[in-house]
Amino acid sequence: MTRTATALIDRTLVERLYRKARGERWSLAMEVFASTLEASARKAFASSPADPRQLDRYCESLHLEDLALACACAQGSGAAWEHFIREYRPGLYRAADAIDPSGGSRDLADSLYGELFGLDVRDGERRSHFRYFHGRSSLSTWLRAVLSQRHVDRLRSTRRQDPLPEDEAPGAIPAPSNDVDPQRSGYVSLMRSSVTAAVTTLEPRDRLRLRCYYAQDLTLAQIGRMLNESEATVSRHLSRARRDIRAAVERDLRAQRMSDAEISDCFAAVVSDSAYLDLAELLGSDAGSDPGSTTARDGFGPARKNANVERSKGKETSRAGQR
Amino acid sequence: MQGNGNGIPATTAACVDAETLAAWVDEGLPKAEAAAVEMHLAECERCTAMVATFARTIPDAPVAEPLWTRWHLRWLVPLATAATVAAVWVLVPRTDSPQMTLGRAPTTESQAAAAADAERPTATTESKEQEARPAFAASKPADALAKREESLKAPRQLADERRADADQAAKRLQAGGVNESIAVAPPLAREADRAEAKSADTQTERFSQPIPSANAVPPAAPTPAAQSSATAPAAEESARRAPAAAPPPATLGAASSAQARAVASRAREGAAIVEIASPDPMIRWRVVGAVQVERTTNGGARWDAAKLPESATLIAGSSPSPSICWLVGRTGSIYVTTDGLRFVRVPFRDRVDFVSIQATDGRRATVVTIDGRTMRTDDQGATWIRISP
Repeated sequence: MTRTATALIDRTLVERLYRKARGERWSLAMEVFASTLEASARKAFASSPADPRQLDRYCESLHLEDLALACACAQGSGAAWEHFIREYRPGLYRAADAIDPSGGSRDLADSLYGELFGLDVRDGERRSHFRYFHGRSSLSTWLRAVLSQRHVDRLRSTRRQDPLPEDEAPGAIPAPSNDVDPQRSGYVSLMRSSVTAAVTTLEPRDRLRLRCYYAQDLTLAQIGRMLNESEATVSRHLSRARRDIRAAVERDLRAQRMSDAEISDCFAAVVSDSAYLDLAELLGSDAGSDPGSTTARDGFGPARKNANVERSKGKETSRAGQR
Repeated sequence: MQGNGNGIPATTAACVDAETLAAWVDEGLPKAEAAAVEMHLAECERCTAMVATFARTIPDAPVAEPLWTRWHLRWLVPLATAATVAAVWVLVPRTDSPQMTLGRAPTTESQAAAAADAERPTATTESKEQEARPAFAASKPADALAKREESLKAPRQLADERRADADQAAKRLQAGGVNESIAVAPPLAREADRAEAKSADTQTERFSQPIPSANAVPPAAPTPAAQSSATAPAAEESARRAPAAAPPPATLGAASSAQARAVASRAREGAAIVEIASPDPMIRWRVVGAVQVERTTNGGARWDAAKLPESATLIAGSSPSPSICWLVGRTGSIYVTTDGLRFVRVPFRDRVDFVSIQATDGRRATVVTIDGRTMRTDDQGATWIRISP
C-alpha cells in the first residue's frame, strides 16, 4: 500500500478523488491514497496501457469511499477500523452463516479479520489483506468474495484428505451392475456424448446458469441475485437452454442416422432411474473426458438435481425443474 | 457446500481471484474482461464453486424488485402527468383572468383589446407578457390565449362544451380499453388518453358546480386570496384522485359500466403486485395489493384467484416447483400449497412480520423475519430452527 506512486495518475486527479473518497475522514495521507489508486489502476490496466481519459474514467468509477476506508484500515487507523467493524462485521458473519448454516464458516470470517487487520508482518511492515482490495467492487462484495474463495479452498483441501469410501460403506459408489442392458448402456453413452457436445455450444452465461442450478444446487433466486436477473428471467433462460440442448441432441442423433424410434429409446434410456443422465456431472470441467466411466457413475449423487431430458408428448421437461 | 461431490480441482493461472469476482458481480469490469470472466466461470469447476458459494452470501433483497420498481415507475409517469395536467388546468384559468386584467390594465382599455394584442405579438405585447409571466409560468402563451378566450365565454356554454368533451374523452377511453385487450395501443398513449379523460372529468365537475340554474348570474372572478384557497383543495383533490383513476360520469349509462370495469381493472393493475416465479415459466403466482393471491398456468394470459384459509397481508413468496408455493406476510403469516390450488396455514409461534422466504420443497423453507432472524423448517412448520443471528 505504501509503494511509491509513479506518474500514472496525476496529482490533480488524486486530489479530486481523495475529496470524493472523503479520505480526510480517516486522516488518510494523500500519498498513501495515491499509491492505492496506482495499484488499482495497474491491476485494471495490466494487459494494456491506459490513456489519461480511460484512467480518469476508471478512477471515477471506483468505489472510492470504500477504497479510502480499506486504505485507512490497512494503515491502522483506529477510527477507520472501528467503523469497519461496526459496519461490515455483521454482514460478514451473515455471509459466513449463509455459506455454512451450522456455523462452520465463522472461523473463516474470524481468520479473515486477522488478515485484514494485518497480523502478517514481513520486513517489519504489517501486511494487511486490504491491499488486495482495489475499489472495483463495493467493500462488502469483496469481503464476501474473499470469504467464498477461502471456503472453496478449504473445502478442496478437506476433500483431498477425505478417505475413499469402503466398498461396503453406505456412501460407496455402486459398482456397475452386471445385468445392465447393453443396448440401453449404449444409448446412455450416446446421449452422454451428445448432451456434452450440446452443452458446449451454449452461451457462457447459459452454461453458468446451468452449472449453478444443476451442479451447485443454487436456487433460481440465488442465481438471479448473482447475475442481477429476476427469478423469472433465470427460469426462462434455463428452460430455453434445456430446449436448446434437447434440440441439439436430437439433431446430433439424427445426424448419426438414427430413426425416430431409436431417438425415443435414447431419451427413454436416460430417463430410467438406474441409468439417468447427470447434467451436473456433464457440466463439470472434466465432463466427457472419460466416457468409459459413465456407467460406474450413473448412480452418483442422489441428492443432486438430475437434469433428465425427458420426452413426454414431444415436450421436454426436467426432473430437476419439478423438484 | 452442496453439489460438489466430484471434488474441486486446483486453482489454475486462469482462475478468477476474489477481487475480480467481486468486480464482475458489481459490474466493475470492462465489457471484454467481464465476458472473459464469465467464459471462465462457465468452464472452470473451481471458479463455479466459488461463484456459487458467493451467490449464497448475497443478502435476500429480491432481484425482482428492480422489475417491480420499473413497472411501478412506468405507471407513475402517466399518473403524475395526469395529476400535473389536472393541476395546471385547474390553476391556470383561475389565475390568468385576474392577473391578466391586472397586468394589462395600465395599457389596454378592455380584455378584448388585450386578446387582440396577444394575437399580434409585438415588442409592446412582449413586454406586457413579461409583466404577466408569473401567472403563465405553467402554460405556453398559445395555451394561455386559448384559456383566456374560454374565460370570456358564458360559463354555461362552456360547461356544455366541457360535458361534450368529457363524453368524447370517455368514449375514447372506452375505445382505448377495447384496444388494450388486444394490446394495440402503447401504454403511454393509453395513459395520455386516460389523463385527457380524467382532466375533462375534473373540468366538467368544476364548471358544473358553480352553475345552480340556467338563469344564474356568472360568478365574479375570484380575488387572488379566494382563488388560492379555492384552487389548492381542487388541485389536491385532483392529485389525490389521480392514482385511483377518475370514476366515469354517471350519465354515460351502459358505456360507463364498461369504462368502469376498464378503470377498475387498471386501478387494480396499479396496485402493488409481488410476482412469484416457479421453475416452469408458464406457472406463476402473484400477490395483488398484498391480499389477493392469483395463479397463472399459461404464462400470465389468465390469472385465477387462489384461496387462503383466512385474510392476511402478504409480503413475499417462493415457489420451488410448479405445484408448490409458499407465502409469507405480516404477524407470523405463512401459507403453503402443495397442489397449486389450496393454501394451508403453516404454524409459526411468533406474530412477527416476515421479509422473505426461500422454499426448497413443500416441507422445507427458510424465512427471514423483519428483525433479522433466519428460521428454517424441514417439516412444514411443525418445528422451526433458528439459523441466525
